[in-house]
Amino acid sequence: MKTTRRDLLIKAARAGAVLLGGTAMYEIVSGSEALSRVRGRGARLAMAVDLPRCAAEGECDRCITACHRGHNVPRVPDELREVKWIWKEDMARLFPEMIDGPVNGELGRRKTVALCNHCAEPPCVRVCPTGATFKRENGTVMMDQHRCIGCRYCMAACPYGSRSFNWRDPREFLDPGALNPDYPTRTAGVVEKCDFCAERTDAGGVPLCAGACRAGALIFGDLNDRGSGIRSALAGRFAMRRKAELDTGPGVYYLL
Amino acid sequence: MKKSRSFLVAGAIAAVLAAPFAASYFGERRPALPKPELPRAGKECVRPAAEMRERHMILLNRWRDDAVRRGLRGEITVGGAAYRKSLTGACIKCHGEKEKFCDRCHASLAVSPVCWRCHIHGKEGRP
Repeated sequence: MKTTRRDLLIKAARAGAVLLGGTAMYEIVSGSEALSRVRGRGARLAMAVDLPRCAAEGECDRCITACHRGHNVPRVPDELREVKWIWKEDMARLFPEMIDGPVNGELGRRKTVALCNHCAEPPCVRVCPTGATFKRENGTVMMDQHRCIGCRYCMAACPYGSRSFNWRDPREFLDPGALNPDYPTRTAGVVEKCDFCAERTDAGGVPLCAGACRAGALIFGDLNDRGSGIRSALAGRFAMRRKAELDTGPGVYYLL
Repeated sequence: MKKSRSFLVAGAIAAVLAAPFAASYFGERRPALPKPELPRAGKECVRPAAEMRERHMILLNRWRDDAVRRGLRGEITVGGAAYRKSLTGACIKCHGEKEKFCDRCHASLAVSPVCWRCHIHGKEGRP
């Protein structure tokens, strides 16, 4: 086979890159190192909130009810000590840095849902002294309540307010007749948050909130799977992530 | 005289030393062993009974770490029946009432595992 001028130049450039900086440099140049950092090794489970569809449902809170019932999340009347996995928030408070941009006027006053962002680089995981919160290979930021000592470092580290502390025994605030016996409660003194319904997604299902939404506004799937619903939902639409400038790589997208 | 006295002393010492053993043998009976209520259906447990008796806590801890930390909730097939790695999803499906199973041994051995502070057993939460 004849070596063309083009082939020769490409080979020379590659050899040059390896000689100059070694393999690490090559990885940075090709972008594969940065990509694997964000993408993880396996799946990258994420969620998209379709804002127009969510708004069309008005005062709906089916996602919150389904989640909190299914996970035995206590309804604590004291707002300072409330426990929440998924909750409603003003758009202007979710995206304070965008109130002069996409989130101005009516959209800023509209409410939508907030939950754990299952960050690519979760600050909560970085600070947890016992490994009670950790990142799974599928991208989920998981809580192991058995190891939580209630130090609340993770709550200080989370920029999204996605974590709640159990100041009291949560069973005080749960109706014993309405408990979901297949899911545990927590005890006083541990932190809890959304875990993307790990017990469901491990079995190939979708989280309770996404399943409960009549409008199909909560789209769940694997970002690393080109054929997934979330990839097609995100394609070609403007999407925002909360405090993306902090470089935590949030995995919850809000579609305008 | 001297010889018989030394026999007497030796006998007395032997009696004192043997007394506790004799008391436990002839005297008061030992407290009864706890009798946990076994499932009536006579199904096979995931491991032999002797192993479960000694090491169930190790098995449960391993299941816990597999399910929570590694996402391995896989099925364990014993005698044709499949079980999940789950305390509430598998164990208590057979060993229904913790008061008649778990608590009987735990109470007599004065151990208090914290499983049920969070996990929901028996009739709790079931209408």
